[in-house]
Amino acid sequence: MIKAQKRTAEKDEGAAADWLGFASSHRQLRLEFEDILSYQAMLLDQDRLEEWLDLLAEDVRYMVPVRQKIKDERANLANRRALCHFNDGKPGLSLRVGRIRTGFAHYNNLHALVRNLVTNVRILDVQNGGELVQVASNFAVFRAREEKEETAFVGGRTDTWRRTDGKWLLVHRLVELNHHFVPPISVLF
Amino acid sequence: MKSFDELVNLKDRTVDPSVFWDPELYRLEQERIFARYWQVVGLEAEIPKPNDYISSWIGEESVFVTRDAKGEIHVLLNSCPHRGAKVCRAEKGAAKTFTCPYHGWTFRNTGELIGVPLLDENYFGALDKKKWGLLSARVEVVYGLIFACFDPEAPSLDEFLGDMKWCLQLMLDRTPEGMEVLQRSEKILIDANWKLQSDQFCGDNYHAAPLHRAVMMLFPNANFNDNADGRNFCASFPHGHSFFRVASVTTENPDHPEIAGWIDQLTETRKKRLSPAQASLVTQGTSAIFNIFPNLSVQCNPEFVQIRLNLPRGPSHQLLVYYLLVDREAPSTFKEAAVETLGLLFSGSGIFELEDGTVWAEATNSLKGPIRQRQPLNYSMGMGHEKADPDIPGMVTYNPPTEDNVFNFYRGWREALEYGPGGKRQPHAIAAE
Repeated sequence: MIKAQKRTAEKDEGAAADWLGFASSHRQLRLEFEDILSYQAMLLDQDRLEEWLDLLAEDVRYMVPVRQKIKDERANLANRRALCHFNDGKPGLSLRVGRIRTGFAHYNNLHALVRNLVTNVRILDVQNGGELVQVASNFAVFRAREEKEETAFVGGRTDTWRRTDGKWLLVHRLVELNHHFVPPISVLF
Repeated sequence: MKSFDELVNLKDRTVDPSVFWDPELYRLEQERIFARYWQVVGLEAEIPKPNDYISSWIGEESVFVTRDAKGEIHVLLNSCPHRGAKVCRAEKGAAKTFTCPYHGWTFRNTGELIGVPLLDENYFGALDKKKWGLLSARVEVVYGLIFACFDPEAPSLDEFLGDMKWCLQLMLDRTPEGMEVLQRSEKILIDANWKLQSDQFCGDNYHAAPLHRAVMMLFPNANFNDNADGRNFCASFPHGHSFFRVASVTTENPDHPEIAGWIDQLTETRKKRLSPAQASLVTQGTSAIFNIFPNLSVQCNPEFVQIRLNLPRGPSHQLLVYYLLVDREAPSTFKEAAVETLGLLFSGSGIFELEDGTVWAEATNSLKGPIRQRQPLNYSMGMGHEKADPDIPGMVTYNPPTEDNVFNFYRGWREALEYGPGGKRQPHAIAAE
């Protein structure tokens, strides 16, 4: 290895040990969030959208930035409010669900099968005496609609969850979609 | 390929299904429309400083748009003259030169070839660099929209737009400070023929209440057929441009009451910049949708302007590139609200828009079938009711909506394929003869 690569490798070894150590000491919490995120995914699979909304805090912010082919693209995703597929508070997300419930959401109605997969759950940070948790996950949403149209939406999420009165609610979700070009997004992540 | 009279029948206002799937017609569109007509590739506001650039498309072809050191705008084909690799590799950035990764040919952001590795050793100095620059378009900017045309013989943009400019001024000439690009660019892929979106944006208001019924149920105060001042109209222009003005399409945002105050102020500012005839058509609620032939769709609300580049990706697929523009002078809380509102309502995933995506795709699919070829598409609504108007240019129809403006897109399409951009103009009112 050349010198610069060796230095970086040594630094990475330290970082890897820290990361894995943190994961080890928060294993129980990670398991708890695997359950929560699986539950959330199940609600979407089963079209239990009102119950999905109930898991969101009143002040939730749900962002799905548009991905760009530019230098250092990942650096500022969370700040990119002005370049999003979705940038919703609870009222906006409620309207999205409301559209489906009217019975006239033709893009969605009667056609789509969805299956949400959640993986790679990892605890990133714990604050406020354990009442505020930042957790990341990867996901795939498979959607089958008209006849042979099948789409897989893939990406990652960085969430902030807050526990109030024993109940975990989603406060912030930043979705990193793994697509530059997207079909119409009729699903939630 | 059928005759042009069968493909677009000017007398009956019908369009043949093969217009939406025939690979031969698709190829003709590529050669006679996209390679030769004026099209929007971006906005001036995206490249504010010298040496800024963005990448974009003309039809299926990759282009990039630069502002050179002197401030002039260039639109360059993103294909190295040597072997065709991409020379511009990012969506946007700043650069004075672009070097092809394949053999290292280097181009100034004006398109000139300035560097060829081993020019003396390998080429023996025999390559004339002046002949091997990037293919370059004619460029014109109108209301901040960067138009490009790769046909040196096509008429000027001014001639091409003709009286459509009156409508552009009505809706895009808003404030002294102009508009800024708040958001670019959501890129949406839909399994539909590109023309279905373009014809809808010519001003198909007929679809709003039925297709977007879900939105009407969510916003009971919204009324898509509202003709509040009695002056809703559609207008058709030569070369396939069309326009539709509506007095009031409001989707209020109760979370942001300050918007109403800004809209009042904006309305007054706009009216002062327009002729009396135009000003009389601008109210707090005035909205418009229009299509500049071939593929620039625009939706103007009092709050924002949304622009779509509509790009074919084969006869059954399209790419839509969305832009959101707001007035520079608008309050910042308003701009934040505009971004949210747009994402919720009018993005590719918007609650308004999702439904369009399915009917266009369904149409594209069903129009291919052999049985389906027996029946053309009908655009006859309001036929014969359009006429010249003393106050408004073009062929005008007042409320109720007509399909004259929607069909007008296919007049332009037929003209383009039969005659090309400099050719004989299709007369409008054959049906009236």
